[in-house]
Amino acid sequence: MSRCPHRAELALLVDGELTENRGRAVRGHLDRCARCRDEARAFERLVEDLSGAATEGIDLGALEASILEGLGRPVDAPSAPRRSRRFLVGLSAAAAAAVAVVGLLVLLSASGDPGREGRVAAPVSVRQPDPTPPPLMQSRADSLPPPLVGVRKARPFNAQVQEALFEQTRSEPAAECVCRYPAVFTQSL
Amino acid sequence: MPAKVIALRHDSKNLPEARDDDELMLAAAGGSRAAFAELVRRHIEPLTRFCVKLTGDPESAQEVVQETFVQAWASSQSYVPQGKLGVFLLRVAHNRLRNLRRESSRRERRHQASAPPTLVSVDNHEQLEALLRRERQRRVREALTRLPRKMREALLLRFDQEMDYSDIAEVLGRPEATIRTRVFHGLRRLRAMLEQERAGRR
Repeated sequence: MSRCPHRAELALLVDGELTENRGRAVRGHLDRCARCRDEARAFERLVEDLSGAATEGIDLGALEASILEGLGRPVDAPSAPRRSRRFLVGLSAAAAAAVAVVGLLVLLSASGDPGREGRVAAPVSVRQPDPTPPPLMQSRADSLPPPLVGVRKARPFNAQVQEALFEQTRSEPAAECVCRYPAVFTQSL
Repeated sequence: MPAKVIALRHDSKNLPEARDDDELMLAAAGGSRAAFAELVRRHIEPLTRFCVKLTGDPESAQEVVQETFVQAWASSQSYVPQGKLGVFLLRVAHNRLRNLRRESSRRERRHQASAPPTLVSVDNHEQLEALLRRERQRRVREALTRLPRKMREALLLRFDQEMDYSDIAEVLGRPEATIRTRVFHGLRRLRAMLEQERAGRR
């Protein structure tokens, strides 16, 4: 069975996707070829049938009613209940944060003094500002914030190390120098 | 976010029927149920038709249509008016149908029980024509369910919903050239299937 060269274009013709020139050529062919004409009619009928109704067994009225019944408010529409809910959420978050801060302060004051375990924490005293005006020029140490109440001022670690090394070098005999400088030079040091 | 939210006043000039889809959607975004009800009335039939033909299952199709409209209502404030509410609804329905397909592949697949053929008496030529047309449409719908899904949805959007290729590409999220190919091959394959079926009945 021979196939017409235009047969493949019939689907495009029915879809309206052929260019003007190609469409004219294919339509001209259909005038002469009964086989392709029948095929083109079959395609046209198929397209019609594709667009046919398919909702015979469905009660669209009932479906429409159930859709409208199931609607709440638009999710993102502003509404009073949503606003009040947001306010409550914010309020509870602020309250939780305040409780956490107070708890942290209590824990800090309890851990600062081990001897106070089991006792009620003393109320936190508010530091009054110094009535005398600060001097215009201050040393860096003076400008540092005052230490927390109850914390002993510790000596710096490097001071302790320096003292220990000094004691060690005083008590031990001088070891032979192993550096790359001559002994005369090191002895002069 | 839409630029404005309009309110429908209940006078003859501002009846929902007189508004276009975008205006109704904006009114719905402001909480107007009357506006949304009009949109449902306008779009429920073509949307249901598309879903029934694509799934071959009226029950699932109705569920999807319902979910589509509920989602459209819920997201009405984020709708961008472009005069394409139909495209928007079909895109939502298409996504829902895709999820439904994933779920149904996990479950046991429910096949639509096609209505058994019944004997009817016809009184005149017109009735006979209508009967034959309905029977032809039923056969096409059945053949359609055997087509690959990608071809099926492209064919339905093109010939059932009568959309142009740019809108179909938007609904399906594929390039226009891909959609054109699917329609071309889908139409030819569907035609071949029906012809084969007709030859088998002889």
